[in-house]
Amino acid sequence: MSRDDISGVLNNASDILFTSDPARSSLGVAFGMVLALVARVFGPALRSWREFIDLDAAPWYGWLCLGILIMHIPTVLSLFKQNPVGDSEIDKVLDLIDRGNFSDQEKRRQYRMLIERVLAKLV
Amino acid sequence: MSNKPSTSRIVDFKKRPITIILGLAVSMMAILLALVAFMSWLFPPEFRSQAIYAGVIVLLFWSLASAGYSLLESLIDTSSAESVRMKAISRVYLEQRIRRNRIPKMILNMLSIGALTSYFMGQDTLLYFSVCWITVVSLCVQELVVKYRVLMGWFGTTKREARALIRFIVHNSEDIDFTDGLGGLIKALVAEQGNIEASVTAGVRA
Repeated sequence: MSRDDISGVLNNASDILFTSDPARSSLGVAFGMVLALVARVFGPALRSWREFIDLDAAPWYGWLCLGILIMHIPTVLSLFKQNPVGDSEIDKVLDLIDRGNFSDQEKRRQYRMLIERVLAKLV
Repeated sequence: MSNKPSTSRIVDFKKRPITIILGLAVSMMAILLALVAFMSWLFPPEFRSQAIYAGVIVLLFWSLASAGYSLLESLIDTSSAESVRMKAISRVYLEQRIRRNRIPKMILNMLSIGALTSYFMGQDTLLYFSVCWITVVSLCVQELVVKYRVLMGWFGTTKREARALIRFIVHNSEDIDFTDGLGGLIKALVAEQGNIEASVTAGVRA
């Protein structure tokens, strides 16, 4: 495997891990941790006030998921509003290049040309 | 335009090791003194020694971590000086991405400093520290990988990256100036390193 392949795999893996938006996901982690801490600090007080409010029962990773989900609300909403890149034609071209019977070198060239053309068209 | 490869690096650790080490040492000493003074003022006498101990450990940990990150960054040979100077959309994307990650990194760092200090003060917060710290490290690693790929000219040659770059261009076409100041457009991507002939064929190299 070349350095290009290794860095490409690493980049794709981390992109999936951060759900394509590292800033939002990491803020979600921070928010989840703060929620977990708040639940831990105020859990006993809330339980003694009303028995059915048991924040301590939720595991820490539950708060983590909640934090990430809250921070990704705009992403979820944008999925209903528009296509991934905002243009169905570009999405089709990307899929065509991906599925087409091209060599790796040709695919790279096609992706680069597509980016150049989108830029020339928009700006 | 010359195709001659250059050995210049983004963070030239080899050329300025003494300056960097001295700068780091002086900064660390200043921070350490400020922290000790702050902790002595903040905590009651019975907690002071424990607080100072926790502060020193946290500070040492962060110094080591940031030194490791700088070293890792300097070890990445970021190709030719030409690609470092070249203005391209992929570089604008990289800059924006780094800028966008700055606040999450700062918040996560602050949280993990707080969690680690609390741990050394006797609280059970190691889990919070671990989660925040792993997220910061993953964020830094991803940033380094993207930086490496952009400067080597490889970013944008996979479907996922092409999609990210196109999304960036579409969403920022009105806010960011993509012209080179002479009426033309700046390049979309940095020319590929190690694959210059293919790039020339593709017509993406000047």
